[in-house]
Amino acid sequence: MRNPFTRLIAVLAGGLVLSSLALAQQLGETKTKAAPPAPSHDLTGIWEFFTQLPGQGIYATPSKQAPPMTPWAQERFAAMRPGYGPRITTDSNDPILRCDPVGIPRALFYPQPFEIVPTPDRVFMFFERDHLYRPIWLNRRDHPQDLSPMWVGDSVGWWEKDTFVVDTVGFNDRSWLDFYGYPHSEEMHLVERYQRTDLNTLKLNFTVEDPKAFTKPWVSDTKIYKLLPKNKAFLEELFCVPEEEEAFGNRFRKPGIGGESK
Amino acid sequence: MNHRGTIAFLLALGILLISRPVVAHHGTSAFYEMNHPITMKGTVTEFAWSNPHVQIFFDVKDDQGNVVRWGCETLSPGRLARSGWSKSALKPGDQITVTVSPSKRGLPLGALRKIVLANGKELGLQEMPEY
Repeated sequence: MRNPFTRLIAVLAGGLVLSSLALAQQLGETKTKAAPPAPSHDLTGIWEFFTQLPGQGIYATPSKQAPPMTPWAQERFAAMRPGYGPRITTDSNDPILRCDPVGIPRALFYPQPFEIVPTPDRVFMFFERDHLYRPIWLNRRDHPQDLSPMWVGDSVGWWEKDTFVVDTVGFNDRSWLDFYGYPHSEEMHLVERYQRTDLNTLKLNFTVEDPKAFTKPWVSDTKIYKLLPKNKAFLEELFCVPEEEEAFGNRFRKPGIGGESK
Repeated sequence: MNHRGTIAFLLALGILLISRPVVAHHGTSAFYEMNHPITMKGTVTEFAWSNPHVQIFFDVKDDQGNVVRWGCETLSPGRLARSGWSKSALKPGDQITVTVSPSKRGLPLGALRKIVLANGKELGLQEMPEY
């Protein structure tokens, strides 16, 4: 290996291998086991969105590139001060800091588990965050007329081969669409497509159509959820309690911003 | 190592460094020095097992023997429980070795990385099981 260029390539390749090994070790990937196949048309279980999972989509937003916003959305976006992402600030006005419900679709890529419970006429999703739940109706395809604006909207679901499709409208415009402060309007139409690719793995791709906020549909990357094993399969009582938020804010957030600490 | 060898080594090192995943941690990167953790020995004064984030307060003696009360925040009780903690994992008086990402403002506050108890047991933040 006398050619310096060949040696350079060899060293770079070695670096890549070492890097992959280090990454795999860090992610606990070295002991990956083959999971049993998925049961048919059954999403039952407690699932969690682990941000560090290999192949996981971006944390905190549907995909890296948001579609162009309308002037209505641009104005809202400019006023939002997120605690995450490229515009991160300590002085956030994220509505969840005042205990507004996290809402859908943001709850879907929150790093906290949710439980899926199917019943004959509905599939329920129970989220640890906020103790939020949403019913997904199986016995109708249409949404009621004149829906009151909701944090989770009105959802209907059906199976298309191995994919569970959820169609939701009827949202309010008070929740942020994601952690970065992107807005949505009451016109938001959300379509989620879930595939259970093995016993332990659930994958979601979703599309946000909101012509009042975005000039094109926002197609997500693939979000991956893992089935929690028995010893971790529980949801804690995670209500957002204003008194607890205030106490935490006084001890940590306000000093971190530079405000007064009680 | 000649000049080209040095460049190649640095390039390979660069790949190693940029390949490490950046895991978001509750938006705390605005408050804390996430890439410069510090480790201290201290005595627990309060263990607040509460939402939205569990909080641990502990006294640390500085170089002059003065006691400084530190506070660190960490995951929610649910995520900590799934990481092997419980509400009785710590109690006032426990001697601990704490690693935190410290406040960017130089305050005695931090985001917890890990705790090692006096008996050597480690309390970490490994919520995700092996798959």
